[in-house]
Amino acid sequence: MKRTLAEAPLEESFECLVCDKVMLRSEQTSTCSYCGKSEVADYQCPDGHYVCEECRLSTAEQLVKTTCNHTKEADPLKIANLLMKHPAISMHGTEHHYLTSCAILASMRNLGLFDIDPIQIDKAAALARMPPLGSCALWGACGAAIGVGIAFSRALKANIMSGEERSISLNLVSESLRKISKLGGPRCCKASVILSLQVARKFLAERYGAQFDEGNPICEFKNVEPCLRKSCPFYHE
Amino acid sequence: MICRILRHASPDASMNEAIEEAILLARHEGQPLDTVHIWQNGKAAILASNADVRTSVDEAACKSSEVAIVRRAASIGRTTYQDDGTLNLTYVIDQKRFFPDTDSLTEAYGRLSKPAVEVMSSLGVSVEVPEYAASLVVEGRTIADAWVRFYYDLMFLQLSINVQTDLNAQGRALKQGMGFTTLSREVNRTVEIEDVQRALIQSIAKHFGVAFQEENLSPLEKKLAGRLHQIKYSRDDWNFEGKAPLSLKDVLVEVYVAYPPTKSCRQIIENVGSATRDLKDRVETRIWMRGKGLDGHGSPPGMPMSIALTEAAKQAIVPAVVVNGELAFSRDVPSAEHVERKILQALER
Repeated sequence: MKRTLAEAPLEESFECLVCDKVMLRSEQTSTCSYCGKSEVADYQCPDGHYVCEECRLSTAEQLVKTTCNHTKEADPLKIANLLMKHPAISMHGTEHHYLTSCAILASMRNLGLFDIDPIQIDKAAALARMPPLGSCALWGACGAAIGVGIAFSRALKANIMSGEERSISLNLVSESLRKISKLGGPRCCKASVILSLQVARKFLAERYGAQFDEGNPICEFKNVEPCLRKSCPFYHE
Repeated sequence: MICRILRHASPDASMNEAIEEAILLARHEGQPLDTVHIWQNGKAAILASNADVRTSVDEAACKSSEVAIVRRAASIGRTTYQDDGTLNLTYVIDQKRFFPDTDSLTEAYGRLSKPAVEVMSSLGVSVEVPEYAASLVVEGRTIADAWVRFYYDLMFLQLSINVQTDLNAQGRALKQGMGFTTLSREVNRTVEIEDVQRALIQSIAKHFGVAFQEENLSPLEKKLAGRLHQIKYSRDDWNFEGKAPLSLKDVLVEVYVAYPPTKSCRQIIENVGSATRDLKDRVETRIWMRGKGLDGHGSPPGMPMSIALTEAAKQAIVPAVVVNGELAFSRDVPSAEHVERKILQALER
């Protein structure tokens, strides 16, 4: 029987959180793939990925805010995918609601479309935390879809008296909900985030000429029960 | 393929549950052969692991009829009654070794229940296996109950076949004691348990191409069964309230660290190691890595985190140290002395 970690020294290699390649011991200075901090790495991925000690210990919300404040990535799907690979983000949970909002805001900033500062990311996260766990079933409104509306509402500075800005936010939530509703069940937060961000990307492309990678995203979290498998448009065997 | 055949049973129903679990644990700890355990119980109401004793059994009736009430640790299965008219067939197998061509649990269950179905069919009883891990039924009447449990790569499946089970006694012992039948009732004559036993062994050997090696419990299994009986199966905590001990040892220390472990995480692991060095006989340590499971190798079936550690993980309290199900240290690095003090306090309780 294999010895446990409690009985044997820690292994000298671990799998990279970002790409699953084997990381080896290191004493080089590396840059954190999440927050951008530089420090002497203990383990590094051959492709240069590194997760700093602080990010390894982060809560979900700390991680989302820090990453979205730092990242230079313009594609919200890539930002979200990076976040969802971190163990702070569970397979399903309310963190997907604010992860969606914050990823969109970070993308808008990096596309040069809106002036998004950490305060706006904070506010979006606070709003997107409100839909409860299971809002998709309890409210008939998935939190990830609502997160799209929150992001655009914040960026466009919509309020109850607004015209177009409010309509845009409502339409994007509606479109996201429509796509998620077609998936059927049981719920999958990963698929809901991807579908919501696809709606956001399409709007950003059509309205602002933003350019993103073509092609259907492939889910990297498949087969974790209850996976929709072949019913999911992002499933790939 | 060689398989052990075991016929051992105790007159004590709670010890039989301990033996069944001991076989499973010992197989994981290196016992080389898969096991087919064919055995009979005394009068017992076997509670499903999440059953409420108050709604499942008539305690007064059980007491007056000397029917033991014991709880089984199986993830799937329902409360049932057994006596010396019931024949238990338990498989404890390495699923990948037994079924290298499939990892489907439904498929595995179907194949493992086939020998029992075949034997009953040979007596003229047409048995349905409705779905995965469901009881075997004859026109809606349960003729054999099934329990399934997983532990790492091992599968535990028990079929309890009502050969000549006393259904009147069952009806008195269980609050939902209707809807059962027996082989003897279905064929309208007394079916002998030994005949069914013999036919089952032949059918299993034929279906799975196994050669049986008749062996008794190993010293490890006896030791594990004794311990399991002492701390779990003989206790009302478990049988009546479903409260399982956290570990076979006296204290369980769970350490929750980042993946890969940070400097502070490594220090905690080292300090816990120092604190428990002289207490290994009484203290079990498990190291869970955030998002990557036990020892960073996933979450093995049958080896859950304690409730306190699950809560700590949900709240992103990392690193964390949980001692006997209570959060002892959160986010700080306790010294080895401090950890040892907590463990000694737990040992005193």
